[in-house]
Amino acid sequence: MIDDLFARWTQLWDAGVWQVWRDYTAAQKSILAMGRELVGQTPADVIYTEDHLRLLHYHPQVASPLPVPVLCVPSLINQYYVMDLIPERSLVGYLLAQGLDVYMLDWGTATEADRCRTMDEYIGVLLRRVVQVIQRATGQPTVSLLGYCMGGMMSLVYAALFPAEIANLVNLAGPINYHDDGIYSVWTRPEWFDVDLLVDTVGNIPAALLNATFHMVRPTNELIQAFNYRDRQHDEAFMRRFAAMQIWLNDPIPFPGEVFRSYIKDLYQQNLLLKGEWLIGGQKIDPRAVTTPTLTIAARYDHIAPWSSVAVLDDLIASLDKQCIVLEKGHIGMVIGSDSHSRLWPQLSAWLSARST
Amino acid sequence: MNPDSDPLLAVLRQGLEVWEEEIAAYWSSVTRSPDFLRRVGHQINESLRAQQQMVSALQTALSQPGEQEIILLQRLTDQLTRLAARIDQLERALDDR
Repeated sequence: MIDDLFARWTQLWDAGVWQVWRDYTAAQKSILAMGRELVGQTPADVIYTEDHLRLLHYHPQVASPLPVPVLCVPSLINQYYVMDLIPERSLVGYLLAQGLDVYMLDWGTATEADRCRTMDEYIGVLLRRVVQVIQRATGQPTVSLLGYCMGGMMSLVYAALFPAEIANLVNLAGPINYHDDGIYSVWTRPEWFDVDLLVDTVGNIPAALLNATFHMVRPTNELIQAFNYRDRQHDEAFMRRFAAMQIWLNDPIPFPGEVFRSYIKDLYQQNLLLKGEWLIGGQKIDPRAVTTPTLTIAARYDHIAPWSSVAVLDDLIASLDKQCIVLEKGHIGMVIGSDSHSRLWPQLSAWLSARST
Repeated sequence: MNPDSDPLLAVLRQGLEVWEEEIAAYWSSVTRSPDFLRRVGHQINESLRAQQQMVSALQTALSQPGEQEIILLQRLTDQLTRLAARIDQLERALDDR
């Protein structure tokens, strides 16, 4: 089989793929520069900083926003602006237009000083402080958390630790079960992945290593992107989306060493969150004890957080007010895909708005 | 260039997409194979151990009499800098509690 695949590859390359690839790689720099200019443009004030962390408060778009503020919690390893990609594809912008009061946590770029920071500190200290800043700024006793990817898992843990502070929880593609057939679950098994050796040697996991790992999942997809560029480089609307996605995909941030160790050992290797045995801030985190109104959103074709490992949250939690949506999308497409604007965002916004008064 | 205006390009793309689906499926099966992952994991671990040894050996080899102490002092300084940053973080955390 592999011989046939290589033979066909050679034919394709010689037939003109080489030319498309050459043009695409030559344009990479300008595509990324264009993307950099486009992302995260929704007007906001930075209302709190701590080391590299920033808390953004987006300018409300209605005279009287709904009282319960919404805090967007991104993953620790990808840039926050995926939720505010470009003005025409901004989840944040959509929520603002629907009258919600939206905040964004930008974790910033981890440095050597963050190497020893723990998950306890990220959730129990930093996230807590951000929630408290919002409480003080708004006078509201509770905040809604909207977590994406790893941020969804962190938001769940927060709701378990401090239930009185959280009005609503939205878990957008945050895995809860880590023992599944997802590729990262397979790659991080202790039989072949020595996370201690890696963290002890390199400290923070470098962004370039993370980026290479993400690309390794399907390296040949880049060829399809080259053709997308070739076919639609003169379509301005397409190029805006394309360039913004390219910069986001190529703009990861280092993973703080000790958090990575805990993330892999406790979750991917021991699945402690699902078992209700993960210790954060000295407390066992059990999703079964969570009673916060919760919206779980999973994507059927998500290869990073398999849908069933996200959707399981809806089965586990004790909340009486809960809903689960499974989209026919992938991990990233669910947030910024072409029909997210018309399908997912209205559902998400309506769910939050109904619970934000 | 619009693929509609270049039929050859459209055919090439179609062929590439079929091939890409197949190679992606093949790649997925390879990168999920325990044998492959054990071998890659072994290589990565060996590289990491080698990196640790090289750093250590380089520091020793480059040191002349007296320089070993300077290197150790430098490492100590680096560690203290990291520790100071960490204490600073923790102090701020305590202040806000």
